Amino acid sequence: MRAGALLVLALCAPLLAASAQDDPQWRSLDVSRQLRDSVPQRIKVQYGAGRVDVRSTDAALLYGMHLRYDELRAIPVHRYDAEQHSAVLGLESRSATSRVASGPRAQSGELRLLLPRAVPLDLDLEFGGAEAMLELGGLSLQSVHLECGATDATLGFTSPNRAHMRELNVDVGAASFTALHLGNANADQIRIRGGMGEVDLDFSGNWQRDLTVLTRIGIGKMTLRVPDDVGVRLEIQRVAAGFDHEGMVKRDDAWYSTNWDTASRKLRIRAETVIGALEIQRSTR
Amino acid sequence: MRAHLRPLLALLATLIPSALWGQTGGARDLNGALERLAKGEQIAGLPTADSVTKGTLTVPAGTTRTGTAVAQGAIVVLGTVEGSVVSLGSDVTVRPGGHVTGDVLSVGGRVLADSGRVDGEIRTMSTLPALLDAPAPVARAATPVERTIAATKVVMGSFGVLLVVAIGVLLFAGPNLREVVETVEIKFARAFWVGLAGQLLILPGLVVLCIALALTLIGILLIPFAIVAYAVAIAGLVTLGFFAVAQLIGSAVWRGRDVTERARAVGTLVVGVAIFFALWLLASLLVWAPLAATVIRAAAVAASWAAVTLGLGAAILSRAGTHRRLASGSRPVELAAWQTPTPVTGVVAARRPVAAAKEAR
Repeated sequence: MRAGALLVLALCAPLLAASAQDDPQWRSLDVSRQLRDSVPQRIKVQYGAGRVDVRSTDAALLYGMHLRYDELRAIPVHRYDAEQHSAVLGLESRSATSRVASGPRAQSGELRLLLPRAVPLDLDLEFGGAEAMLELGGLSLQSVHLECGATDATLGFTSPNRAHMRELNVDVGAASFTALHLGNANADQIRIRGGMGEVDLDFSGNWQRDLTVLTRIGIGKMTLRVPDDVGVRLEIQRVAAGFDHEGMVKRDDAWYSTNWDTASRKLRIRAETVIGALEIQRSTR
Repeated sequence: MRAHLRPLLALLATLIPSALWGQTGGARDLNGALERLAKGEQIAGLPTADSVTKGTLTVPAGTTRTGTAVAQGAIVVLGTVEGSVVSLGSDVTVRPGGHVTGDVLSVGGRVLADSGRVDGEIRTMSTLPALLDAPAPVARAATPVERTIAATKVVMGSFGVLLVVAIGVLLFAGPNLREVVETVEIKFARAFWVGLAGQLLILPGLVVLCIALALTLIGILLIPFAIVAYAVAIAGLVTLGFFAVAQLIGSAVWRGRDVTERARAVGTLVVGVAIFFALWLLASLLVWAPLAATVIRAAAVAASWAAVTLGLGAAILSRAGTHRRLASGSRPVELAAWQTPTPVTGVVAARRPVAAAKEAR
């Protein structure tokens, strides 16, 4: 038995040696650019694994980014094209064949990004296995595209968006996604696409226009929290998904809230889900 | 007096060369820092090491300095710098009226530019980049050694995972594994052909299953689950079969004597799996010689495929190692062996080894 154990250990030794990798080489970097004008800008943020925090600032900065990263595995990106009024920020993998560092120790990395309130922005956010906290309230967002991999992401608009947002697109992989105060997003349309996970959408806030929400969730639960005074119209296509339609009335091919005809603000939802549950909760603002 | 001077002279004789060495080292460090600034931070127009200011550098108001300014100390900009400004180890301050047309960098310090103007980026960093790659990584061809290490890591990682799975199979499905091993031994050729047929019928079988389920409403809802269950079942059969073949081969090589049955099972399984992985390991070690690696890899693929096919067939024939036990009754043979044939009052329950052993074989 001892010989067998020794044999197993001997065979596993190279494996253990192979799995031992270089220790991370942490480096911190702060990058910012002064704000010169209020010309609309396009900002793309890409980040693999770690913590992400994005919020607004009153400082006269076009962007302010703090990075802590493993220099052996990633390279900071901070490119600005003054002619195109566009910036690319975040991290790129050092190896062309692998993603930015992932795994438990990559979680020690972080990205903190400050964005200006006064400049109209088109935001493109791509996060891999990150823990993301995005507080976008108070910014002047024209469009937002958020792509999350295996991410625990929270998107919030605690104060109203200063610009009229054409579209808010969210692509979620196997993740937990929470959006708070979407009523403040000042958006025409919100698209949520999810593979697998839990999606929680809170529509409280200061509604300035009617809103259309298109959701497509593969497997998971989606909860929509809608203020009492907002009229809701829901079209749902589901395969094996539960839907609690309490407080809703079916007319033709859609479900309507009882205040649909009288509500000053209207929320039109078109939901597609395969397996899981869809729940609508009514709340006070 | 001379006696007093002697130790002092000796001290100077020791210190002067080390000071000179330190200066040389400092110059070397500075050259390294300038190279890192140029390559790692893309700072253009850097001065030579001799032109780097030692100590504080001030650009007075009303003056214009052309070219990148680098100092091993604080930098205060009151005038204009047509270029970038870099402080190695201290702060950079751009005062009201100060203007930098390029970037402002501080390594290990801060940049205070709230009231001045900076056209480029403001950067503060804990250290200069140690690795001098460009920010946009370019795919670099790995060296043969790197490729060999990478390929070996993959093989060893897979081997480790398979070993863990093998131990799990031994622990939780030991009897099933034994029966599949016996089936391979007894019905070798038949198992191979059944395995081959099984491989060819995997996809058609899934299609037939889905069509059958689609005939009813409840069945439609079950299709996603059925697909997952089907995939899990196939993976289970293949794994069980492969381990059975590996254990059979391992038992032919294993020379362990006077060991427990369990130790023998572990040893034969590990040796068997290692034999299969030896070919893959050899292929990974020869990755620097493409032709040899391809030949060895082809041999490894063929051997692994043959083992998987044979094992799958045996697993199917033995119904995942449950065939005989199911055929002998609803309870496993080992349990049945402890039953009396007929309950007779006053007779102690006795094992019936003859019938049970025959059944087990």
